[in-house]
Amino acid sequence: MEQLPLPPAKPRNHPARKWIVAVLLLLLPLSIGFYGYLPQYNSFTAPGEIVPVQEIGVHGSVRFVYVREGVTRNRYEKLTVSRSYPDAHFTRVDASAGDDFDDMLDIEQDMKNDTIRHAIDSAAAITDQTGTEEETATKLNALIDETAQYYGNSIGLMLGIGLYEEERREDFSRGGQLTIAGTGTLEEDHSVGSVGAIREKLQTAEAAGADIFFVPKDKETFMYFGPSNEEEALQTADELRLHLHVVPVASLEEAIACLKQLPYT
Amino acid sequence: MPLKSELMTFVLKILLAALVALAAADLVFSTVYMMDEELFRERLVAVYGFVDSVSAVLYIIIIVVYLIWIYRVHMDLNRLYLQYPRTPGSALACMLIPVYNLYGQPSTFRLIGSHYQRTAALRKTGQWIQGLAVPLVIIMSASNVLGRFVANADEIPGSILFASSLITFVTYSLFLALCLLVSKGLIGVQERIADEPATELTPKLIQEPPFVLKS
Repeated sequence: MEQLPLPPAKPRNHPARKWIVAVLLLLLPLSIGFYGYLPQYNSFTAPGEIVPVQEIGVHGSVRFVYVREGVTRNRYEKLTVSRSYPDAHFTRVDASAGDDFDDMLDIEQDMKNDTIRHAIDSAAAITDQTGTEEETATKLNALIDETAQYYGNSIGLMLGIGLYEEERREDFSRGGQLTIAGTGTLEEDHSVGSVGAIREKLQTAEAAGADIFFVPKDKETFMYFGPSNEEEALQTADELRLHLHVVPVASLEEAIACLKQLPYT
Repeated sequence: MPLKSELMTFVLKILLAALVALAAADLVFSTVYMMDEELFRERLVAVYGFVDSVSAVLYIIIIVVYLIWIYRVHMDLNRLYLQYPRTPGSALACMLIPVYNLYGQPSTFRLIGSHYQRTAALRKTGQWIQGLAVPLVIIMSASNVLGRFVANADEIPGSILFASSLITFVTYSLFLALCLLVSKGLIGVQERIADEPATELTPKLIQEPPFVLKS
């Protein structure tokens, strides 16, 4: 019987096969890397910290709140921010957001300087301790320097209260028994103006154990889209079942009056 | 007969070489970070992020390939050495069981090294594998501790980032060296067995079956 021709033995691991497997496995992380770097812009807000006004050279007991804001340019940056700040809230924005954010920082720098000046003037007016122009300028420059790492003008109200405590040698925290924090701009007429990122600021204050949190009383005056700071703060406190006490105030005088009425424990 | 680990050895070598190259790039970036943080933030932070993300995914792939490789290497060792004391399954267990792998991993490589040393031509290879086994675990542990510190720190000092990158680079290089040495040894053992003349079946060996067929 004629023997059937046997097919040639196929090598088990052909060199090409090895290379195909290796290259495919190398392409996988590279593809993921490139995908992570495709442009995708997101603005984010994440809880920050509450800072005693003493840290910026004011002899008061109250604290202001800062949150972390920025723009991520791709998925990798978004992932990095998410890992660092798990509570960060992201919003998809377009490619111009990065430049807009830089412009906004410049504008907010000016607005912060204005609110610091208003805080100095308001506290001086309420305490009848108006200093010379030179003294005011020195104080203003010192505070601008001390707050250089913070952006935005929401420091105004708490700075005003801190400067009032400094002038009057008051301690609204009752020797540190109360943690008093808050947010809001301070205008020339001592009124408290609206700010952003109320939800994150409340989360930050709650996490830091704040007892009282001042927000702008802006239900009637809020000029932007969406709920006012006052409404959002009360809604957030209710929704997140926060332990801190949200206190809407319209002016520096109202905030100080409120603090003076606090019972001694 | 080809080695069962041949494909995985080749793939692991390529992947580990790529990971070592990425770790070397990371080491350069962290050196720049340590020396001039501003330059790093202005020029290198985007590339650093890319290298970091590619390395992270590649690392996960390598872990899977490495486990398959160690399994298949032990299939070969069990075929090439009679009564090799570690089965592929137990070798995998030595790598995977937490805490126990602090002993299991070096002991697996020490065992491979000691078996290679029985062959005169592979004595040096075996010694190298044995010698690298213990430093591997120490450096891996240091790399884990530093890596966790770097991942959780808000602000990383340049020296710590540099130390972490250096240890990571050394760890990956050690793994690559071990992969090369183990595969070199396997090929050497296989060639030695192939070179030995096959024992012919003499009539003495073909014995009568020790039984009879009884109807």
